[in-house]
Amino acid sequence: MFEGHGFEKQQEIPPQPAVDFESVLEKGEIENARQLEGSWGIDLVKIKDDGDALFRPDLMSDFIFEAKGMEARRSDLELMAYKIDQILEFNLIPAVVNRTVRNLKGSLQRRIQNFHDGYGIEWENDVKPEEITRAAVFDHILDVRDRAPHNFIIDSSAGKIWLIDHDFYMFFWEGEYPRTFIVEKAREMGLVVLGGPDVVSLERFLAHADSLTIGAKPEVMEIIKKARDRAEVLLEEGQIPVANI
Amino acid sequence: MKLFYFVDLFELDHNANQKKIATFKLSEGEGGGVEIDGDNDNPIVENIKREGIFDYKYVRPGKLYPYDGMSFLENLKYHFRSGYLLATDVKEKAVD
Repeated sequence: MFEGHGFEKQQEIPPQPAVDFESVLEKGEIENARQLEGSWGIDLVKIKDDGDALFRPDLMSDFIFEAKGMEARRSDLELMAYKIDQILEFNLIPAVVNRTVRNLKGSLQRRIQNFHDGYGIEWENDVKPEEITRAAVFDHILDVRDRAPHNFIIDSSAGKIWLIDHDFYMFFWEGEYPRTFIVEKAREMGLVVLGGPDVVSLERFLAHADSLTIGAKPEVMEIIKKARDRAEVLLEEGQIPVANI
Repeated sequence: MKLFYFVDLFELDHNANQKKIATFKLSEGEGGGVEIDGDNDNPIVENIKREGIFDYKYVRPGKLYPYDGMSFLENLKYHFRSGYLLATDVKEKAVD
């Protein structure tokens, strides 16, 4: 018997009314905020009648950026990654906004409820192939440095990948080898060739990338410029290169 | 009285409750490695024992493994930082 991908075995999910997560995160009434056990001062924020979100205060990671003389902060990078994802229409990053919670500035991001982490041995069987290609394209053009099983999660009921942790280490980590776990998985599975919708997404990104640099901090501008250059090459080549460049 | 150093690792479940997956404890004595209390078969624990983690803090080349002791312990919070998986800072506890 043919064994398809795990997500194909799931029941079809009936269409759900669209939720404007950005508006909920920006304007929703905060019922309470509970600090999670662990580092970085992350809060689980309950939004009245609209689920919950993770709040990551900039204050706790400012020292990393300051040590490098950078103007950008974690919330700038999280928002930039989300906006690029929105332009691409990949829907890989949970909605995120900048907000002040408990008098601290930071990023407030929708919490994904139905998920398992990327540590499952065969997570790729729970995900639609085109989702892996999109995530690989996103990671390739942004030249991510630290994509590993601790910073993506899987919603197997929808066959989806959610990318998280778009912070200093994702874009600026200078260690020996960048981690590009999803790009490597896409190569291994032969999912690196751009389809028609991917081409349209990249063309849209090239048309709108400059709008993201208006008023942006220097480090954000630098990332977007590099992403634009890499997107141009990717469109020319038609596929993600066989090795990291 | 002795001090021992440890890091707890938490996972957020579907209902937004945190569950402790493991405690990483620095072994006593010079050059001591890190012992892991918890389910050693948990895929997350098993993965970092096998694959190691990077040195985010000092950006030294190579990977860190439990046998690297305090350096490994100090870097767990940089590795697990999303909230879905979250490590504590290195904590210390006095034991008689």
